[in-house]
Formats: sequence, C-alpha cells, structure tokens
Amino acid sequence: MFRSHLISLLVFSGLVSVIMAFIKFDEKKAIIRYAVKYFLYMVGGVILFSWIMRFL
Amino acid sequence: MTIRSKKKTKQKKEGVLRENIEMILEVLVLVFFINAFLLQSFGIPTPSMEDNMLVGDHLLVDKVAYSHALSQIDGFVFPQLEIRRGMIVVFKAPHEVEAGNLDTMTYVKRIIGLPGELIKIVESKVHINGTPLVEPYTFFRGDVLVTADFPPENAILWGNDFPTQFRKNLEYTEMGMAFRIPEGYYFCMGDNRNLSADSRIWGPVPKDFLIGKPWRIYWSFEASTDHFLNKGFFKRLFDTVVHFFKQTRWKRFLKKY
Repeated sequence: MFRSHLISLLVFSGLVSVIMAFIKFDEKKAIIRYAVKYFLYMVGGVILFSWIMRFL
Repeated sequence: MTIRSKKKTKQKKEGVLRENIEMILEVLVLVFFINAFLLQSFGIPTPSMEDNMLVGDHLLVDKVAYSHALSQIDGFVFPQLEIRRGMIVVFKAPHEVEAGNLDTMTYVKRIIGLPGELIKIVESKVHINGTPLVEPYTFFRGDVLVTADFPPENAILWGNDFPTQFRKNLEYTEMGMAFRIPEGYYFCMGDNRNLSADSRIWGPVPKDFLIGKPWRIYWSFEASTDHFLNKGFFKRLFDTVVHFFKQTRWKRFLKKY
C-alpha cells in the first residue's frame, strides 16, 4: 500500500487531521469541519506545490 | 484574591499552555510532512559530483519526481518523471542498507546505466551495450581513488561492498567482460570519476532506494570536506557563523538542477 506516494499522503494526512481536530476541539461538528479542512489543505498543498516546483 | 479569580487565572494559564503546545505540534507536523512528501534538505560534503555540485552546496530535493507509484493515478496527480540516463538522483546507500545500518548515508550521483543494460568502462570511458557514451558532464580531478575499469578483470578486485550475488552478472562482449545491470536497479556514478565512490564500488542502486531529484541550491558554503565530515558540531557552527558572508557562494543561490 505504501509503495504509492499518493496513498501514503492520503493515509498520513487523514490520521494527522483527525488527531489534530480531536486535540483542538471538543464539539463533534467542529471536529469534523476542522479535520476535513486540514486534510484538504495537506493533500491539496502537496499536489499544488509539487506542480509549482516543476515549473519554477 | 478570591477563589473565583484564582480559578479564572488558572484556566487562563492552562489555555495559553494548551495553545502553545498545539502550535508546536502543528509546526512539527508541518516540518515532518514537507520533509516526507515534498522537499528534503541535503548537503554535499565531498567532491564526487564536481564541477556540477560543489562541496558545501546545500540542496532541496524534490521527493515527488521519482516517488513510488502503484498505478497511473499517481502519475496523473503528481508530476512524476521517468528515470533516464544522465539524471541526477539522491538515494540511500545500498551497501549500508544491506548492512542494516539505520543511520544510512545518502548519496547524490548521476544515472549512467539503466536496468537490463550492459555496462563496461575501459580507461575511464563508459560503454553502454557496446556503444561509447558521450558524457559532457564528467571530470577527472584529484588522485585516482577508484579503478578506471569496470567490471574488474580479476575477481579479487571487486569492491568489498559490491553485492556478491551480482558479481556473476557478467557477459562476454567484443570488448571483454561487461556487467549486466539487474532489472529494477540503476548504475549510478559521480561526475568526478577519480574521487567518486559509486556503483563501481558498492554495486547498482535499487529503484526503491531513490529518494528524489535535486531541485535547487538554497545555500552554498565554500569549505573543505574536512569541515563537513570531521569537525565537531560546535566548531563547524562557529566557523560557519564567522565566515558566513565571506565564504558563501552567493552566485549559486537558487541554482536549479
């Protein structure tokens, strides 16, 4: 499974975003919102920057 | 101070502490995350890649370019590159990984031979599948530490770290014995052929050991190999701070590979 950069990225981002959300918030709705946002920033950030790096 | 105000002060202190811990945690996650998935920093302590990479160059290595892919989706999502001859790669030292060394050294070399190819080096000239390779990037500087010919004519001359299972990958060609690079492996060599410990010494590099592609130099500090390898941390730090402006090679700042 971890022989794929993408899958490793998704798993790591998923775990970290859930843990960070639980540390930061107590309310269920806030946890979900924060976790989803954090996950998207991480995954989107790596994909975006990897493409930017190619052209810089 | 009343009991209520004491309680409030305690709560405020706990809030500030928690906020600080969360911030430190987030920074650590971010650093680890960038290091694992996007960019990693490496320094060049030896002249094995001169004149293309100098001792003291500090590089950012793109970890996406040669990253592992299970399907075409990886290649679609990330700007992955097909590994070709002449590309510069950063990788874990295969002989150290085999020896079970956890604190493995990383090397930066150039891909010279691809999987399945026959390689022969005669008097420092590389031949791939019997054809001489044009290599404008090579230098022959310093006393010859590495034998000019490969594979060695005598079995005793194999490097100690060269994997024994590959020493029989020899095939007879018009030029003599040539080495067949195993599938899934790359033959990597430094540009300064006289002073480079590379696949000639410790064998071909498995694809899994590739870490990434040098992207840009973020700092280049003019100093000797001794400065980077043999000096203690504090002595090195002191020398670096004292000579920072004088010995920094400003022209190499942000040089792209």
